[in-house]
Amino acid sequence: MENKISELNQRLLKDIMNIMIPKNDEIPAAGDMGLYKQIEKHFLSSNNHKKSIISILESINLHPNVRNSGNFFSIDLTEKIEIIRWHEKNMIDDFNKFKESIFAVYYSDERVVRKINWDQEKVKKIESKWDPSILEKVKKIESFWKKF
Amino acid sequence: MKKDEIDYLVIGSGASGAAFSWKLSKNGAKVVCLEQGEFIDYDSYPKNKNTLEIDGFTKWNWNPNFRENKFDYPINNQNSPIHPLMYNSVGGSTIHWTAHTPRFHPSDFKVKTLDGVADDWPINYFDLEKYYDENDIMMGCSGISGDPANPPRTKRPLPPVPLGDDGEIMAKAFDKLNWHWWPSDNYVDSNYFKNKWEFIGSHALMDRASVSSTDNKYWPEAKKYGAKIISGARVKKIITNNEQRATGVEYIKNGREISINANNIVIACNAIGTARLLLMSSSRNHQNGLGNSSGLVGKNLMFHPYSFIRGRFEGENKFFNGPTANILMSQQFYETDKNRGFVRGFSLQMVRNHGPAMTALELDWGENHHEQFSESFGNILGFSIIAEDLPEEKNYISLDNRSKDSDGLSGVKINYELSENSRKILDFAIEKTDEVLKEAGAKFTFNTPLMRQAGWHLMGTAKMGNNPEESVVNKSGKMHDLENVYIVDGSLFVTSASVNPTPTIQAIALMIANNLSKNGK
Repeated sequence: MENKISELNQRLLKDIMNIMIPKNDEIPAAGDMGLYKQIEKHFLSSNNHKKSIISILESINLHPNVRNSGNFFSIDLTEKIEIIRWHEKNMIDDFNKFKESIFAVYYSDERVVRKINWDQEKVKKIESKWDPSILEKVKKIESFWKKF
Repeated sequence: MKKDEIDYLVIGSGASGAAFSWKLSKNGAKVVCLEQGEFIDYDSYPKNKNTLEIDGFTKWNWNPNFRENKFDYPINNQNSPIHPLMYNSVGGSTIHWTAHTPRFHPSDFKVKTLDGVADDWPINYFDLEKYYDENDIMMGCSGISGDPANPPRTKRPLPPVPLGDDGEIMAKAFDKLNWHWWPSDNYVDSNYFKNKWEFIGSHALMDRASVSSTDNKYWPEAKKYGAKIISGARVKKIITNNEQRATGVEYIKNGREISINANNIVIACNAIGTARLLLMSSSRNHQNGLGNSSGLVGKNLMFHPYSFIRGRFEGENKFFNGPTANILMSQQFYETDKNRGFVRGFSLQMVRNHGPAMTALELDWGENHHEQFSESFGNILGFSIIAEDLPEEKNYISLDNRSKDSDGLSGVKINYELSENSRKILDFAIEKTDEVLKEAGAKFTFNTPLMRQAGWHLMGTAKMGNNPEESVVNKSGKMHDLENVYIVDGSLFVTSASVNPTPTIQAIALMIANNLSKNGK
């Protein structure tokens, strides 16, 4: 399956990503991080996600306010947010998959992983042991299953 | 019986097909299993933990429609608020699961007698008890005996998986409310797992080696007794003669149609796949699908309706250390209390914080996103609420001739509505779960009233019963309409209980296999 979308839609996707996940300290907004390639690699190769991503982008392009202004890029931020919210509310399943692809590539990017301390090695070192004393109180509950 | 004849041709190698094949081959029968999927090599599981969630959304999605794997078949979910999840491979869905393994309660088999709804099963808990135990040994069950909500159990084969700090926080909250809770039984190797916490974050794609599945537990043993698996073999049709007997099946492998004969056919394709195969196997003598004189094949489909409720705690916690879901379970509200306005009940299963993307998806996007994320990540604990679903004939699967699998066979359509009783259970459960989360210290709670991608548990569609007009198989799993066709998977469930069904599915498969061995069939 062809896993590319048009240049216009790539630009639109990048703009929407910047709005949905803005800059965070030293980390640029999601669209400015060059994550499009990751979306292409992981999500545009799947019919299911690709269909949803394109549906959202095409629908935004066809939104009356976008058409009146000529394109999405020339309208102000508040209106852009309203248009995205409209799609979130009215195209729930497609928007969820659209959002899933954006958030998944953002939170798997090494810069973000470092920023949020999603440090796998640290996680592994945390150990826990079974402590039977935790059952002390619940063990006193009288058996309440019914015999049939 | 001729020397080279197949005694049992088993279709499907997952939870039930593997258990059945092991038991029968151990008892001397010649068993061949046809599996539409392939062996999944451990090396093919995601290795990069940073991209684990991407894999979980795409090629390792629980939903076959998202994976687009050629061994899956299309499922039309447009008429269902819950979407079926499964994996088609050697080992079936057990190769991609949380391995959470509670048992049904004795009351679950007597719902009609107790509550006047659905039907009683023709078997009871104590018929299955020794098979539950046998399965727990074969699969390697970690846990601890003594749960006051359930009948006494034999010593669990493996020690319990530690609760972790977060599990202990929640256990103490239940204690304060005087509510039941108990460490979960699960098919995870706690000895291996003890000091090596590698379950990280979002889903069942964790440390593969410590999670039991039938490809690593039952099949190696079954093969020692001579059982064979033919993988990549998709069954197209069960063939019958005019005497109410099946003679064999036609299957497709590498695009080629092949016929194979056997003395008995055993179907173990899950409650969607089994009904699909029976409906695809219609013939002159079985015009509405094989063994469907009752008209019930495909009907009474049950899922477990799930709500998901989470609480956000203050501080810088790391609530993602340990298994995502096999921690502890509460069955405080399991049995019917008519004062609540519904019948039957629910279990609560504690769930840890997901990975970062899954955490973020539950938050708002836009200018507040980063702040919300930093408050939430690592600080979320919650519960899956698993409600008992009652069987209803209006919930059914049918063939969907508009969609085809990679071999040109029809997909399936799910027709399912959430019942009023289930909605009431979930609403009540959300209210009660909120109480325990707040008792544990959650400052803020939020919930998903009905989870869509949550059809892990597939039940009904070929109901077990004594009356051929009201059921599809008898209490030995034999189809009423046929002399030598058996069903051993979750299709034959009469009711669903409110726990994960796999140990019950496997115990029933072992019981059926044992009865067949005893009867010399």
